[in-house]
Amino acid sequence: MTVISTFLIVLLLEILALILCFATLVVERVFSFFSNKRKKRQMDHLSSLILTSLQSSKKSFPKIPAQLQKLPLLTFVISSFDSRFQGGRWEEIKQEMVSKLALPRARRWAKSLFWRKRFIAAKCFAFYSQPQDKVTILKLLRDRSFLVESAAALAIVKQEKLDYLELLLKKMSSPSAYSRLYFKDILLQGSNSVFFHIEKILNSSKIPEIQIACLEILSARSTPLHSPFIKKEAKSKNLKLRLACITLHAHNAQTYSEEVLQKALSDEEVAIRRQAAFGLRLYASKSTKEKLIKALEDEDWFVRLNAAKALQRMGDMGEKALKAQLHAKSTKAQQVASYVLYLTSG
Amino acid sequence: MHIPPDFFRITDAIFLWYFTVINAVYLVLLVVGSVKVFRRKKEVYLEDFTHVLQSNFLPEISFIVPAFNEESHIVQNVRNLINLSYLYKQVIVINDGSKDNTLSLLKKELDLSPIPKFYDDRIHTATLKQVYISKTHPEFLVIDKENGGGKFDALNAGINAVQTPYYVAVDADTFIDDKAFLSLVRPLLTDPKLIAVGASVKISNGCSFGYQHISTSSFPKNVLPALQTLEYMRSFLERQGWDYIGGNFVLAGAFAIFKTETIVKVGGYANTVAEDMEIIIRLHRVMKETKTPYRIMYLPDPVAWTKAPETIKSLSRQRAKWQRGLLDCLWFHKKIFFRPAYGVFSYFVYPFWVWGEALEPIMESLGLIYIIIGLFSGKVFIYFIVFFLITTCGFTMLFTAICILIEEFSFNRYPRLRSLFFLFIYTFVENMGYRQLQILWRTLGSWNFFKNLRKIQMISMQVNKKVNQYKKGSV
Repeated sequence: MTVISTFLIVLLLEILALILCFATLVVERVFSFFSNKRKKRQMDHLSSLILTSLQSSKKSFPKIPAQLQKLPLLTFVISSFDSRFQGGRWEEIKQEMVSKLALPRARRWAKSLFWRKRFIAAKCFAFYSQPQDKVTILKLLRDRSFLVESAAALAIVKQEKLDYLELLLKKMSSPSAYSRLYFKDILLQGSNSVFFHIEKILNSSKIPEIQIACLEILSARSTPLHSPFIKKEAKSKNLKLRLACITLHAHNAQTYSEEVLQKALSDEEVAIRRQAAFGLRLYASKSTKEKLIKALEDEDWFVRLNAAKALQRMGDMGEKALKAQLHAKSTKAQQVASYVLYLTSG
Repeated sequence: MHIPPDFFRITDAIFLWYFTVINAVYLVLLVVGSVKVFRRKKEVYLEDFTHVLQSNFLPEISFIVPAFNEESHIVQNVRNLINLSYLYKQVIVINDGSKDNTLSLLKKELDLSPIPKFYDDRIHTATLKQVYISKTHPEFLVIDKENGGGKFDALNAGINAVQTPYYVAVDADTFIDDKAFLSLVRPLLTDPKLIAVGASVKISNGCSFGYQHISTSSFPKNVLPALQTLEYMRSFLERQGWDYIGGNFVLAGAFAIFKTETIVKVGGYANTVAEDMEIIIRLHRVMKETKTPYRIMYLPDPVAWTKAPETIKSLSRQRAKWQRGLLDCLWFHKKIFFRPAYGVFSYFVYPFWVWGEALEPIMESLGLIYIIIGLFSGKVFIYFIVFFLITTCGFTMLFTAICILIEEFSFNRYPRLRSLFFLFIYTFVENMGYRQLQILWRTLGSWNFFKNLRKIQMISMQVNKKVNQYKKGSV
């Protein structure tokens, strides 16, 4: 009988636990229904207050009731406005709201043990920060959570200060997989003065990793560069530096890039030849045409493909050259020419 | 027939101890797994994925899709991959000697054009017939090859063509959720030690497919996929627990991301039906043996949705295959067993997989036989059996109910109350025959393993050779 009573107790406990599970599920559904409704109402209310003051002719700022001053709610609504509006009146409202309502609490939350709070604090600093927040932002940039780190990086870019940017470039160049790509994206969101600072850092830095990071950013926008570095380092013995330089010439063409890329097309490194062939798509000179025709016999498929695509972009001259390759002795050139012509025929 | 008086007492204790230990371990795994799930949910909630979409500098990721006689799924799969908003994708579909219309459907859908083979083989595979590129979607490459005897060969052929630092192995009947995939990008890229990332795979039967997303408001109408929904939910939560303690043995074959360079170095996939599990165990093994810092991550995000078998025949074949694959892998890597160099794997994970997973169908079958003997000999009373079965079923139901609760509080992929109600109902139904059938299928899988032991030993030698080659290379 003791065995049976043990079974009965276990069974009873199981049934109770099952009922508890089911009840929790129902309560959670009901609770989340009302809580979502409340959140939505608060968000709509806050958004309408901001919109009213954005549309008003007077320079008034929204009067936000206490229940709408919660930091997560504020950051959420401000970031959704921030993705739609830029500068002017919105910038004024944002600064007013952040400095009065968000920053005092963000400074406290930045010291929190919970990464979620630190993340929200970093986001606030990315909207707007004051000079006294420098230490806090730099501390957040060294946070162990990557989400916090990336939000702090955004705050740093908005400050547009040389020493801050140098710090961010150092972080970007540290060997931590592809997280550098996030910092790169964040730096690219910077203004022209951020670019100007980065060019300055490129000239002054002696650390190849930082130089590479600078080159990567500068190659992402079409801007005239005055640094002598990018011409000189196209012949660098450091492969990574040379590749970064050639990539810059391929993506952000300078007045002398054609010559640099033509030379790079005979480089011993495949990755450099690929970039060079890609970069030469912008030039329609005879000398480039000759070099590209030669590259159609390269041992690497992607060099051949990039060269053929570059020839095809040259217009009639390049297309004639490609058609001539259809009867060439080299099967490599023949294959790639027919492939590119086939791709563009439709 | 004379039965010794102590037989029932000792056997009772063995069975009770065996099932109590297993269920206790599963409960602990569920608890630690749920901690990981909730932590991840917070991250996903706060992350801004538009950043990933707007980025110009993310690395290219190749999707390898092995396809053998997949004419019913391949077009949907290709369209899903076309619609993925991750900008830097390459797709490599491998037609592994299909005898149906897979290749002609691909040709029609992608407007394929033959190109020369532009890469060198790094892993040996069956003969390649032709490489094609899509005219309409140049990021798509189709490799037509002779059948190499399994999915492993098609995956190896795909790896040979991969030019990107990471690749994703995707089944042809799998649908990838766009937003969930984007959420994987940050964890993938921020840890330099990461060599493989897996994510939760769920059952797509009964769901409707949108442009990029899957609608899970409905629940599988067929009983078998519904029961498998429960199984997937449970097993993926348990795996979160394994991942938490650093002892994850398997990433779902239907969707997993790998570092190309590492997989090439370990010699690609091995000839087994559980190539997804084998590669993970081998990765753990070579990394531990060479003392290389590494990380294999298993995220709870529901990224991929796969078709579950809808007939008894296909389900039985799948389960027997899984059991055989499990035994293959445990046999290939038996060196891990109780060797301190492998850390948590040697004294906890591997023994538990042998004890709790590989031996489970045999122990359950023996349990059923024991009950029958006990009843006939009059040593076990019918009411005892009934109470025992009810409490065991109750435990399974409770376990599943907790899983449903975790699902509800985390990713909430079954938004309709009706779906949740059915989930609860099926937790009861699965104990009425389905579980017993599984024991039978898995026992057949075990039998198949022992029948092919000689062939498996040969493959085992090849696998261990690959491990040694990696070790020599790393030295």
